[in-house]
Amino acid sequence: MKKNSLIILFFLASLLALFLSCVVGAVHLSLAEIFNSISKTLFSGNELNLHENIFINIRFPRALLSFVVGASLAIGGVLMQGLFRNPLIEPGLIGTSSGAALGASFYFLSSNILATVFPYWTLPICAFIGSLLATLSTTGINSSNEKSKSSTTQLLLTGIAVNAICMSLVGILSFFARDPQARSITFWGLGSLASANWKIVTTCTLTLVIGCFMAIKNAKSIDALQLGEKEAFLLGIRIKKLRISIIVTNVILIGIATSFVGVISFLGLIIPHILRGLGILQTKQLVLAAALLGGTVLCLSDIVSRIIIAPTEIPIGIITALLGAPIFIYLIRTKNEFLA
Amino acid sequence: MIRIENISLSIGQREILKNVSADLHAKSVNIIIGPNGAGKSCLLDSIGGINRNYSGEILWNNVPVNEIKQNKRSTIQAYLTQNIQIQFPIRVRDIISTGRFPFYDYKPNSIDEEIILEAVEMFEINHLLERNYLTLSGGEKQRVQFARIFSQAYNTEASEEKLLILDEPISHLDIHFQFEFLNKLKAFTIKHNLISILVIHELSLAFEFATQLIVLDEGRTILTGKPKDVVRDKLFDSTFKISSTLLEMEGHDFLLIKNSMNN
Repeated sequence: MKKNSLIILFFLASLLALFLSCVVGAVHLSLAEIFNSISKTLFSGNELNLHENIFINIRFPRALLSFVVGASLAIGGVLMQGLFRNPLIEPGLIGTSSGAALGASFYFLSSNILATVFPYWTLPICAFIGSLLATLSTTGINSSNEKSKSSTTQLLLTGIAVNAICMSLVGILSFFARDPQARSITFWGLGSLASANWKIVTTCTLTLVIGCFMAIKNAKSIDALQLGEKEAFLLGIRIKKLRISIIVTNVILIGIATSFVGVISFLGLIIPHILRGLGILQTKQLVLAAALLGGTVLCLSDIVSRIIIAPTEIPIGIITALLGAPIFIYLIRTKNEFLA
Repeated sequence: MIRIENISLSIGQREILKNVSADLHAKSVNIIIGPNGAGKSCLLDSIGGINRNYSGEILWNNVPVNEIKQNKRSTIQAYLTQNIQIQFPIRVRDIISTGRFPFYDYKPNSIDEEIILEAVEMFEINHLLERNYLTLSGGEKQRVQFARIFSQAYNTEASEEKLLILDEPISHLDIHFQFEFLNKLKAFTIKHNLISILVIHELSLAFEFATQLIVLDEGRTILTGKPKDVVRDKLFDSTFKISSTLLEMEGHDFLLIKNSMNN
């Protein structure tokens, strides 16, 4: 009852955030302009004026993308924290984000050559390949260890090592990069939603829907896993299958979103904790609430990143960390029965 | 009936179990006792399907237990392990529900809910249901785990046997709750046609409640049988390095243990 009303509250907040994100910016848009823009695009097909064009081709896809990416990151956080039974986990920790950063850096250094191979979406494809390779090597190294049983803790430690390798390779690449390329690498590592368009929104929405579905399908097993791996096995959960399913879901959610918008840190870590503090503890409810709250928070962060020193944009990863961290510190210091 | 036939188990170079045999019957409480490091938990893990690298056979009505598929097995066997560590806040209600997880896909039906409620009332933890498990005391946590494992062991088809395994279930309880738990276990075992097997350290309680006592030392079954026969055997005292006496009072047998260090 209380949990359901919280989820309704998050839903309303997300609508409000989406609306604000469409209205606020370098150019202020009115409600009438938004309405005209939608009706012209959907029904009459009349030519759009400048403001209507800004709404339908820039603001609206960007607002939606921020929401969808935020939702994906937060669900990834719920899943990975659940899998590792560890409150310190960020969803990208098993190489998914740092691999993407490495792929992107590789693109920035050699874009002239690569663009001829993949003429379309070169950067996200490079980033996603990096993300996939890093995640696969983490899981591959871990499961090739025949001697001892491959445990979840080992998977986490392998992930941290793969992360370190990827980040040092990114370091090497930026060391050899010339100035504009090096700047691109740095900024990509801080995230940006400026490239939003309808194709990206559609792709990320599709991955969010698939990821959300898979997360909810595994929710009961993740709940059982919280008792421990041995106990979950005794409850009939197939641990290895569950682990693979969660990692695949995570790559779909985090790998693809990161490939389009760059690395956005901290969100996937804090959203699940905030929700637990509010008493939302079951995985299924956590997934739904994380989607709504994660989306809302990233949408609001994007507004801040656009207006704080307009017309210049601050990379969104800076906003999520700089505003998110103090709020998070405040939350963990408040007395609360449910906050770990 | 479960028949443990000559099982041996090594982990690395260490031999943990050596030719262990025992018969475990339905509606019986089988209590394993033995000094530290005797291989008691390992034996439970072998029976429960956690550790499958043993030689020999464990047969359940003549079927090797490990041939039972895990999703089926989790509906006919409940195993309470030692030291359950939970990292995230979780409601007591949700912990107990996991006991019925093997029986439903997405939503518990009314029977599952009734079983959970019965288990909750059995261990008098109604007032804890909305609490965060992590904030409970050790004894409260243990009672929550009992409710969970009894929900899983609950038998809706009394013609079939089910297996209940408990690893040191009473070590965090005060003496009142120890007695209360063992009484409930005994009644539940008979009512639900269970084969119960558990490890406890309290010898006098083991003597009092066991249908069959299994004394394990250095991986071997030293003694098995009715409690009275087991404690009368010379090997009982030498295994535990104690001196014990049976005392009959008002038609009831008590196992007394004398401090043998000072003699």
